Amino acid sequence: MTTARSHATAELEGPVIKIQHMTKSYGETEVLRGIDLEVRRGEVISIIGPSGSGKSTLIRCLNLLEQPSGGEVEVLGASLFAHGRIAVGKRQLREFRSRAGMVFQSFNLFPNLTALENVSLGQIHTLGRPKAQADEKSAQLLTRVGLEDRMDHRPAELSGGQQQRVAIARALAMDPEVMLFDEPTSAIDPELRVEVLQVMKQLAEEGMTMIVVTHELRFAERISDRVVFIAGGEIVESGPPSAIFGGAKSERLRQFLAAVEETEL
Amino acid sequence: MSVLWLLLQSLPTTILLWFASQVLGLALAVPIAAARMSKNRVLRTAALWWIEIFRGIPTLVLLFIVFFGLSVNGFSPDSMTAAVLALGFSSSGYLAESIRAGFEAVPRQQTEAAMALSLPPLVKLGKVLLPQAFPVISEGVVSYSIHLFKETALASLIGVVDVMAVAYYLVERGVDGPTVFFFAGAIYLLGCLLLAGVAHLIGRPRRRRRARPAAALREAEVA
Repeated sequence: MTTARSHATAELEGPVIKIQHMTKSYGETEVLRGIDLEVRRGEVISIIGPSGSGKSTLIRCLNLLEQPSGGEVEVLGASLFAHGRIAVGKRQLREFRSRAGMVFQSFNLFPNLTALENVSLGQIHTLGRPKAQADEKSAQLLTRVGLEDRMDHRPAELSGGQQQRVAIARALAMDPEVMLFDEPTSAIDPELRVEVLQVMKQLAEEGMTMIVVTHELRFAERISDRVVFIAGGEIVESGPPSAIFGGAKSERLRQFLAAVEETEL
Repeated sequence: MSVLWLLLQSLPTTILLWFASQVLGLALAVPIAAARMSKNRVLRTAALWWIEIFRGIPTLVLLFIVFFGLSVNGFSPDSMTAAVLALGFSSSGYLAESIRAGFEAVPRQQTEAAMALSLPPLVKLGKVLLPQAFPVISEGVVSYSIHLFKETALASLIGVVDVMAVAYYLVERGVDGPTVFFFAGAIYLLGCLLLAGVAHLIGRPRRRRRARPAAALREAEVA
């Protein structure tokens, strides 16, 4: 499996993820109204926007945790979703999902398992690594996120910031091609957010491809190559952080930034 | 105390009836619960009907239907078999709902996390969903089990010689009614208390685990 992966990696010059005209509706409500986005290898993209703008839906549609209503999703050149339906078999879909690490707002660790077991589970059962090897890798990753002394703790015994770092380690353990973060700090005490943001910053600096839905605008400004502003289910504006935070073109973005600034001060 | 002694001699029958019905009920409940939670609409509807039918018919009526009405190739079940079938089938509906309640108590995000890791379905079930659903399921199953222990007394009406049947017999033979039924009641009560005690012991590690997080969390944040 690993060799197949490195082959695919070597062959690829194009975008890691490419979505075209993605739409998503719940009944009558249109949440996404035609999103186009290309993510290149090593790129860090932040998705910002007001609550209910469709940011989270977008990132959940990216790894097909939620099924889009229309449009196309291409990952590493392979079409995963087209003509309103998932275009690959279950096995390929699972293979793809294991390449896209997902970090959830509410951590979603498995409460019945320790931190180490949480990080090892997918390695053992999805990637087929021997347990000893998986545990070793898990220990390395947990050390990397600063939790070497919490490996045998269960999620309930960890703070929000610690749980989210375990969740990041769990996603990294699958050797993902891209990491998807869905508001990773929104459910964490403000004082403990920094420990999660530091881990993410380090990942970005190491060249990981990342898509981050976030409310932390300062953070987005610092780590992103590109910032995408979504409102009303559409990409209103996108560009390098300096263009988004320095000289917003659209009135909608100016409003949003002004409103956020007011609450932050 | 010869009354108590006579009653106790039939206790094994009561226990056997209770145990066999519980096993049959669970064996039926697992596939029914799976069907009830299945994506297939036909299976789901069939399971729903099964559950509603067996929960809706009084156990006593079911007991009479099986004992007097059931005949396969000219063979009718004896009273013990009929009782196990009736109690087992009527349990299956309740137990299936307990199992479903357990799985529904697991947050949907857990399934999503398992999906994001591409865990194979059986691993998702065995390592993620079932361990979290189990405490809720076992609570439901145990509380139904206690109820079932008392319900076995109905089987005396179709001729199973259990504690209740011996009690009737003794009263018919002229032994003082209140005394006999007092002892019979005490035997059922003790059985139920014993089951409740066992359930309490099974639930203890879980309660302890639940009590711990708050303190541990504080400690973790200080660290």
